[in-house]
Amino acid sequence: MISYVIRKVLFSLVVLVFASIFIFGLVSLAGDPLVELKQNPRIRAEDIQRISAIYGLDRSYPEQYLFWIKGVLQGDLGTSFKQNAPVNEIIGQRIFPTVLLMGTSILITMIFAIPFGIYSAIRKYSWLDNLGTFFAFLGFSMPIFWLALILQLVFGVYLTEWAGTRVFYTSGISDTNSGGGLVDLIKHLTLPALSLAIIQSAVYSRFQRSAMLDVLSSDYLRTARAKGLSRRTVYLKHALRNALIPTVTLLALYMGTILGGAIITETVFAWPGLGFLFADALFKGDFNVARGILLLIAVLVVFFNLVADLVYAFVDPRISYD
Amino acid sequence: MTEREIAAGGTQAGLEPSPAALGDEHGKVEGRTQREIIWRRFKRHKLAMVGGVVLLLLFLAALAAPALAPYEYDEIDYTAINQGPNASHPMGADNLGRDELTRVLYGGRVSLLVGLSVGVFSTLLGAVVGIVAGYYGRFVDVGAMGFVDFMLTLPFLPVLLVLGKIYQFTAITIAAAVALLVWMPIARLVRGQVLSVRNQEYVQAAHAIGVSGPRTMLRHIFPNVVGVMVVQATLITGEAILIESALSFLGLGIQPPTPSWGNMLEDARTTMTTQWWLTYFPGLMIVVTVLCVNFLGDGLRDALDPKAVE
Amino acid sequence: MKRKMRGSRLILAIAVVLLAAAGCGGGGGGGQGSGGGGQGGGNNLVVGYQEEPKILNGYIVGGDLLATADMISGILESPLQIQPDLSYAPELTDGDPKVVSEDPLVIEYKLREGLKWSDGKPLTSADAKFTYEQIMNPDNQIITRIGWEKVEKFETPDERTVRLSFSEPYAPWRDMLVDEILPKHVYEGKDFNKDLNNEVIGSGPFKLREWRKGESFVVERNENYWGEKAPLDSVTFRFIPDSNSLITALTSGEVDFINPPPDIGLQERLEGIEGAKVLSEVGTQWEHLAFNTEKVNNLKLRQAIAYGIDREQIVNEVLKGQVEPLQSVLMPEQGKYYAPAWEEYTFDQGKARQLVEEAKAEGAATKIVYTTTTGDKLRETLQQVVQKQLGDIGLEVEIRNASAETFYGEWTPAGDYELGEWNWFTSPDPQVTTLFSANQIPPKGQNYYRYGNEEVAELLERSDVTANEEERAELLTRAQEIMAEDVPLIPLYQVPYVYAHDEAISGPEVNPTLAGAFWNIGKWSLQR
Repeated sequence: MISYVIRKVLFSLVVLVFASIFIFGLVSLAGDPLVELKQNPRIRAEDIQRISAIYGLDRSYPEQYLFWIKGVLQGDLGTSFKQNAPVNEIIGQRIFPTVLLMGTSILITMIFAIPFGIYSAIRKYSWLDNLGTFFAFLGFSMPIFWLALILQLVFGVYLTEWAGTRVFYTSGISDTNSGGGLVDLIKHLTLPALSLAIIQSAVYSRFQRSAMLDVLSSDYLRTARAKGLSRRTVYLKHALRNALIPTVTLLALYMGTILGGAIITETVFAWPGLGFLFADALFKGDFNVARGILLLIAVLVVFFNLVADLVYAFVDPRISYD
Repeated sequence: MTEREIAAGGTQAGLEPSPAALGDEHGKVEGRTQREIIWRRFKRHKLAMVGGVVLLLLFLAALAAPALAPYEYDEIDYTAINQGPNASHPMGADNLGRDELTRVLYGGRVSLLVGLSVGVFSTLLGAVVGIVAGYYGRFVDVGAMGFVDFMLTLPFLPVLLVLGKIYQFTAITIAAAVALLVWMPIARLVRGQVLSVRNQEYVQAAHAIGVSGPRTMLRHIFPNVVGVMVVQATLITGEAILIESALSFLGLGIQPPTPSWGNMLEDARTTMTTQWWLTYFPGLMIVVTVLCVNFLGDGLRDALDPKAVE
Repeated sequence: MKRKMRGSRLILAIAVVLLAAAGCGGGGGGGQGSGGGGQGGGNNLVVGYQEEPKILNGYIVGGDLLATADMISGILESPLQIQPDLSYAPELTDGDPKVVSEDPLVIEYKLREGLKWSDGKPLTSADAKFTYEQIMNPDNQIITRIGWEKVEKFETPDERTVRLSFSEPYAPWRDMLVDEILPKHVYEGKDFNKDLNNEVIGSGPFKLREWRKGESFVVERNENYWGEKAPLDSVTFRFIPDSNSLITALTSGEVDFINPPPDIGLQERLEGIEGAKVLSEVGTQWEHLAFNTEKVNNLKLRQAIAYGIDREQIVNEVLKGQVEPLQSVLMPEQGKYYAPAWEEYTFDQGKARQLVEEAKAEGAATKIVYTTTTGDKLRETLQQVVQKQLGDIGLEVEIRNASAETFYGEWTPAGDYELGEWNWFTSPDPQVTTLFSANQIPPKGQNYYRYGNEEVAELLERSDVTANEEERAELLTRAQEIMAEDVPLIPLYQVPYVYAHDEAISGPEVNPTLAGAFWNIGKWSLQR
C-alpha cells in the first residue's frame, strides 16, 4: 500500500515536471511580449534591446525556464512583464471571483440537474423526460457566447426597460457607487452564473440520467427487487447512492480545473476572474501571468486526480497495490 | 477550464458501460443478426433518426455548396448592403452586400469539416493509444497512461488559445489542434474496455493457439470498442463545431474571408439588434447541427448498448 | 459494495466542503450596506472602458498603453496640453514657453502661480527637475528618452522657472512638455520601477480613490485643486473587455460614457440607443497600405495599385462616409506641414491596368500577398474590398493575416510582407523621420517599408533640427512630394474616434490626438 502511494505521488510529480516544461515552452512561443513598444514611433531599437535585457528576454529559453522554475519551486511564479508586480499577487486577486462564479453555477446545476437526471431515469421516456432531454440537448448545442449575449439582452436590457428599474447587471461584479452588499452582488452574479449553469445543467442532468440508468439495470438492483424490496426502498436506498458516485467523482475532478474559470463567460460579462485574466495576459504578452495560471491549473488537476486515485485504491478491494 | 470541457467529459463518462456485459455478447451473436438488432433499436429512437437525416442533408448541402449557392461567397454587392431576407437574398445580405445564404452554405463546409475531422481523428487517436496500452500492458501502458495524465493537466481552452496565438488557425489546423487535445478520455475508456476483454477466455484462447498480437486486437478487441468509439466520435463532432465558434469569439477562429458559422456569428454579434438575420441564420445552423449530432449520438448509444433490454 | 460506498462518501464530503467554501465566499463577498439604486447617482459618472491599464506610471515599460494615459489624465498634469485642434495650450505653464535660443535650442517656461499637489504641497520647478532626473536615471525602465537625452542642462533658476538647454537645435521640443510632472516629495527615494505602479498623486482636478484590479478604477474630486474644481464628484472607469458588452452596458444604463473601438455599423448602432448622444471625429491615427519596397520593388506596380484602389469607395462603403481619404503621411490638422501629395492618385482603372501591363513587361509578379492583423473587422472588410478592386485591374491578391503580436513583432520589422495594412499614431509635431528615413530601416528604426530614398532621408533629418517653422514646413512638403512619387505606401484614412454618452453629460469633446477622450474631464458635468 505504501509503495503504491509513493509510486503514485512520484508519477504525479513526473507528470508535473513535463507539464511545467510544456507550459513554459508553449507560452514562450505565443508571441512577442514587447510588441506594443515596437509599434510606437517614439521608441527606438536600442530602447527595445535595453528593455529585453531587463526582463531576461535576451537569454535562451532553457536559461529562462530554469530561472522561472527555480522561483516556482520556492512558491514564486515570477514577475509580470506588464505590471512589474509579483504574479502570485496578480493571480491571487482573481481567485475569489472565479471560485464565486464557478461555485454558484455548480450549486445551481446540482440543485436542478441531479434531481432531474434521477427523475428522468426512473421515468424513462415519460413526457417530462423527453422534454428535459430536448432542453438538455438544446443547452449544450448553444455556443456559450451566444447564450450569454441573449441573456444580456433579455435580462439586462429588455427587463430593465420593462421593469423601469435595474434587476440584473450585464457586466462587472459590483457597483462601486452603491456601496456593494449582497443584493448588489447577486444582481451582478446572476447572469454569468446562469449562463454557465444552463450549459452545465444540460451536461449533468444527462450524465446523472445515464448513471442512474446503469445502476437500475445492474444485477444487484435486480436482485434487490427480486428479494421483494419495495420500489421506493430500492430507488432511494440502493440505486440513488450508487448513481451519485460517478457524478460526484466527475465533480471532484472538475474542481481541479475550476480555477481556469470560464474564459468566455468572464469576458462577456466583464467578470474579474482568472479566465478573463488569462485571456488578457495571453493577448497582451504578459506571459508569466499566463504561465502561472496554466501551472496552477495543472497542479490542481494532478492533485485531484491523485486524491481520486488514492481514495479508490483505498476503498476498492479490486485494485491491487503491487 | 471551460464549460464545454465538462460537456465532453460528461458525455463520455455517461456512456461507460459495464465492461463485462459488453464482452460476452458481441463474440457470440452473429454479425448480421446483431446489426439487425442495432438497426431496429436505432429506428425506435425517433429523434436520432431525424437527427441523422437532417445531418445527412446538411452534409450534402455543404458538399454541393458551389452548385447550390446563388452567388459567390465573397461576391461584394454595394447595392445589397444590409438587406433583410428577400427574394434575391433569402437569408438577407451582410455589410458588404454578400449573400447570407451562400455564406451559410460555404460556412457549413468549413464548420462541418472541422467537426467531422475532429470526431474522426480524436477517436482514432484515442482508440489506438487505448488499445495499444491496454493490450501490451506493462511499461507501454504506464508510458501511455502517463502521457494521458500529462495531457489532461493541460486546460483545454487556454492551451487552444495559446496554440491559436502561435499558429494562425485554418480549418485543418483547428481540427488538428482540437483533436490533439480531446482524445485522452477516449484512450482511457478504450483501454478499460481492452483490459476487461483481454482477460476474457476467448481472447486468451486465441493467444494460446498462437494468434499474433495485432490480429487479436483487430479481430476480437476492436468489435468490442467500436460502439463506444462511434458514439464518442459523434459527440466530439458536435463539440468541435462549438469550439470553432468559441475560438472565433476570441478572435482566433477561421479567418475571413473564408466563412465559417462561428466567424459569421461572431462578426455579426454587434449588429444583432439591427440586422438580426446575420446572427440568426449561422446561429441556427450551429444549434441545429450540434443538436442533431447529439440526438444521433444518443440514439447510437441506446442502439449499441448490449445491456439494453429488447 | 459497502467499501466502495465509503469512498463515495469521502468524495462527496470533499465536494461538499468545496461547495460550501464557495458558497460562504459568496455570502461574505459583498461588504457592508445594501445595494439598490441605479448606477452612478448624484454626481458620479461611470465610464465603460475596454482595456484595463497594467500600471499607472506612464514613463516606464507597461505604461505605454492608452489606458494608462486615460486613467491618469484627470490626475496628473503637464506643462503643455494638446488641444483638439492640435495646438499646444499651457496647462501648468504661465503662458507659452519662450525659445531663448534656436541653435543650440534653449527654452524656458514659467509655472503658474499657486500650483499645488492634491495633498496640499506646492508644485514647483523642483518637481519638474525631479521628473527629468527620473527619465534620465539609467536604473529606471524608461520606455523612451527621445528628446530628453538631447538636454544638456536642466536648470531651475527659481521656484517657478524651468530652463532646458539642448545640445543642438531640436524642433519637436513641445512634445516633451506634454509629459506629466510628478511630485518629488512623494516619490523621492522610492523605487521608480515599482512604487508608482498602483498609486499616483497628482495636481489635476481628480485624485485616485481606488483601483480594483480587473474591475474598476475610481477617481474623486481633488478638493485642493489649484484651478476651478471639477463639477463631478467622482468618475468610475469600469473595465468591460468585450466591445459588444460595452455597448450593451450603455444601452441598459449601467454606464454613462463609452468610447468603443471603430467598427462597421458602430455609429448607426450607437445612434439607435435611446437617450444617448454620439460624438464622432477623425483622429490623428492614420490607416494606410504599406509596401515592402524591397519585395514589391517595381514602381509601376505600386503606382498601378495606387490608381486601382478606389479610396472614395472604401471610405463610403466600409466607413459609411464618416471620413475622407487621407492624402499624405501627415494630417490636414497639422496645417502648413501637410502636403496632400497623394491627391494625384485618383481612382483610374484604365491607367492602373495599363501600368500593370507595363510592370508585367518589366518582370513584376501580378500576384501580391496582402497582410494585416487578425481580429479587426474593419480591416478584414476593407481587405476584401481592396482584393476585389485589385482583381478588377488584373492583380491576384492573397490574404494572409497574423495576430498583432506576430504582425508588428515579427513580420513588419523583418520585412516579411508584401502589401501590409496598419496605422500609425501621429503626434501634433510633424516628426516622421523614424518611419521613412533610409537610415531608419529595422532594426534601427521603424522604416518597415525599407524605403531607401536618400533624398527623403536627408530632408526629414534636416527638418528635425530646423526650428524655424516655415523652413521646416518647406522641407517636409518636399519630402512628402517625393514619397508620393515613390509610393512606398498609400494613405487611406484617419481612424475615427466615436464616443457615446448619456445625454445628461455635458463636456465631452473629441480630442483627436493621443490626449484621449478624458483630456478635459475636469470640466465635465452631469444634470440628472
